[in-house]
Amino acid sequence: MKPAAASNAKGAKPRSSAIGLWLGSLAGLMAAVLAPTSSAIAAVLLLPTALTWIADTQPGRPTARVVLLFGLAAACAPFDALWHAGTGLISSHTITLAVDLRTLALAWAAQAGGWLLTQLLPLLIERFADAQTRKTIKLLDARKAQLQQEWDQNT
Amino acid sequence: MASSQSHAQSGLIGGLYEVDLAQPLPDFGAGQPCFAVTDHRHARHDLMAVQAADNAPARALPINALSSLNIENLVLPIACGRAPTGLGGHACFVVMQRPPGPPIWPGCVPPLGGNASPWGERDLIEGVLRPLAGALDHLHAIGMTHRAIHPGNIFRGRDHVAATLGGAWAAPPAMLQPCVFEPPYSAQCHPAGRGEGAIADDVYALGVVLVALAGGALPMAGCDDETIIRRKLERGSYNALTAELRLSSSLADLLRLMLAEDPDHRPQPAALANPATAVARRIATRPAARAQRPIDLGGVAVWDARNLAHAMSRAPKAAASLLRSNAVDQWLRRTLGEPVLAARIDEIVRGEEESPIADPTKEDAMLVLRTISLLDPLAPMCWSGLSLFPDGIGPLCALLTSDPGYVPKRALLEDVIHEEAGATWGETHIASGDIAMLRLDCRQQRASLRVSGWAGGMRRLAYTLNPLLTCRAPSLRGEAVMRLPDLMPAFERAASGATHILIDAEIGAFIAARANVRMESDFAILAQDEDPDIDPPGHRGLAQLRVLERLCQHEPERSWPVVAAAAQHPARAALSQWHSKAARSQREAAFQQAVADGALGVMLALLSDSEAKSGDARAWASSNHEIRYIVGEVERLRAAGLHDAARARTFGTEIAAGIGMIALAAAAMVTVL
Repeated sequence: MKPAAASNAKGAKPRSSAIGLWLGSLAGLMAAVLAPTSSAIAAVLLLPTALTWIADTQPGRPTARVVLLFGLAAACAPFDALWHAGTGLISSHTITLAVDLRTLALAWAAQAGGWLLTQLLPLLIERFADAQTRKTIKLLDARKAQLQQEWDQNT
Repeated sequence: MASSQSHAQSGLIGGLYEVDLAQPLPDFGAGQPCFAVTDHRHARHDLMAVQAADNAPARALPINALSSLNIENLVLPIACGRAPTGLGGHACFVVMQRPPGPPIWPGCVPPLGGNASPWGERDLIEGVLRPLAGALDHLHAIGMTHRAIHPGNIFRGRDHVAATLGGAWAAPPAMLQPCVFEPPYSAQCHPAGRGEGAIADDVYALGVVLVALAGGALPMAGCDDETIIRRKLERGSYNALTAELRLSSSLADLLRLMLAEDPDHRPQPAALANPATAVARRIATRPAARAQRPIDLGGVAVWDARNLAHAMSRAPKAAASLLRSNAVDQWLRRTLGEPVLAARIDEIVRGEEESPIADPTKEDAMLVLRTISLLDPLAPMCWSGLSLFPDGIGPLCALLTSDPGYVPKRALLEDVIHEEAGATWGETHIASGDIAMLRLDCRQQRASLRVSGWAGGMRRLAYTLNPLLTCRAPSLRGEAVMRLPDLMPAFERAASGATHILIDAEIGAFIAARANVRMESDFAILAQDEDPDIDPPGHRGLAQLRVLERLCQHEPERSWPVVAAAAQHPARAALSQWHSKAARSQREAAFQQAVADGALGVMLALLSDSEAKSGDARAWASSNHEIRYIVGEVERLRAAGLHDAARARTFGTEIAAGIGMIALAAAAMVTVL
């Protein structure tokens, strides 16, 4: 039973990943068919997220998620402008309206900022934790030296 | 106490008497060194001091009982104490009155020899018998004996008529008494084991003195002790002693009475004041049964029971095998005609066979001792060739523990005590009322012997049974310490420059015997070598310090800088038991000061403050625990460095995600609003 269960568990992840990929592709296809303008804008604005999603091999893709969040935050204003324009067809006007160069730069910069944050924050936290540990060790060593000076050590 | 200390230091006995070593009195010591004495208070010049040997202590009981009495015609003890000997050491001296005149037989000191003019009967009765019997009567009245009556210890009186009996107080009873002056049962004992005896033994000795004076020569002169004893046993004392002497019938009757074999048949000293009356009270005695043919024991042909007992005492191994072969039983029944005696001895032999002692040698010794007791009711305890009376164990113990050469006999004496042979002997020799006391004494002696360490054994017993035995430890450098309060001053004089343990086995036994408080545990520690794996540092030094501190209590105000300096070395290691360095250095400084002050009590208190020591140990354990925790924590923190980097990465990403969420929410709200 156990080896079978283990093999099932091993096979479960790629299978669910494949299902997710299929479901994602299907949802993307449906979005492209049902809302082609919004899908096109989203594809342009969230291109760095897509690249990060592909590049991030960590379980749960934490970096890609953060980049996605920042990308979505930056995409709120263009989508709002697009949906308030009242047109449902793909036109160069609506695309120009929704995605000008400034909007694109902001969205990509936000995603880059998100990516940068995922790289810098762990480093800063690690350095801080190291400093704290060193300080604690120094205090403990000082206490140990004091005890050794006061008492015959037997340990 | 302080005054006795100053007396001891000044060399005055009792603070009054100075032994004048420049004036020896060889004629007055009856064989012991004797010197003139200067009385510093009363300026008396009629005193002398007799020096006791290191291994033969003076008699405490008579000295205490007689020092305040005045008995005519007897040299009485006045004081006893330690004084310098002139050879760099000290010795025990007994101060006595000096006899009024020279010895009645000049030069007649042990070993006896020489001849003198025969004395007339009147001179013997009036000049010797009556005055000495009077003195003995006084001794008898207070339950004392003399036990050193021989011509060398009898002195002419002031009027040259009534003789004076010399002292007998500076040596164990009868120890220096020549064999011929002792009854056979006492003569066959080891000289140190003859015991206090009875006044009848003094009467016997006085009888021998009369025989010697009447004949002008010592009876059986030139014979060795064994010959003298055997002749007395074979022929009877009177016949043996007066064999070549012509005596008047009245004197012969008197001497026959005084020299009777059974002490109960001898006259009391009071009766000797009137010899005619004493002779009239003569008790008829049945002569001892004599066998038709002898029994051979150890190459000696024996004809009667008493001689058989003596031969058994001299050849115990042959006696044991003869008893087990039933030869003695048959000889007693068929040849001597003593079936009752034979039956009782047979009962003893069977009893021994039914309940044997683990050691066959001891079994034989006990068998022979019981048999001798039955064969001769007067015989002493005879244990594997060692003969003694129970009250002679003390002096004999003192002698046999004084020199390694006595080891074989000491082992025999140990067996006597261990097997409580005295009580066994007493069953046939002592009235039932007194046997309980003897049994108790034997049990106490055995208990002392069995105590482990220096507080037990033969040395301890020697000091317990001999109150005036001086401590013979070589480390005291000749100081003759008799009393416990004198020990610390002796240490103070002798311990200069010492770095080792001052208390050795001899001193330990001395202290254990004399001290009122029990120090067995400390002596058990001192008796063992220090084992660094088991014993804490300074274990023995601390035990010594405890003993010394108790000894100081005789003079609590006095300081002992020399003893303290010597005792600090072995005890100092105990300071290392203090774990706190600050507390230790503080105590070290205080200890050094106490050593300089000679305050042994303070030294001990500093080293053995158990409450503070347990507090120190608790704090030390707590600090050790804390150090262990710190070491573990530091190791954990260092090992956790890599693990923390991964956690920091995760944590950082989560924070970034959080910021992203906030940004998204804010952007959504701005867009909606």
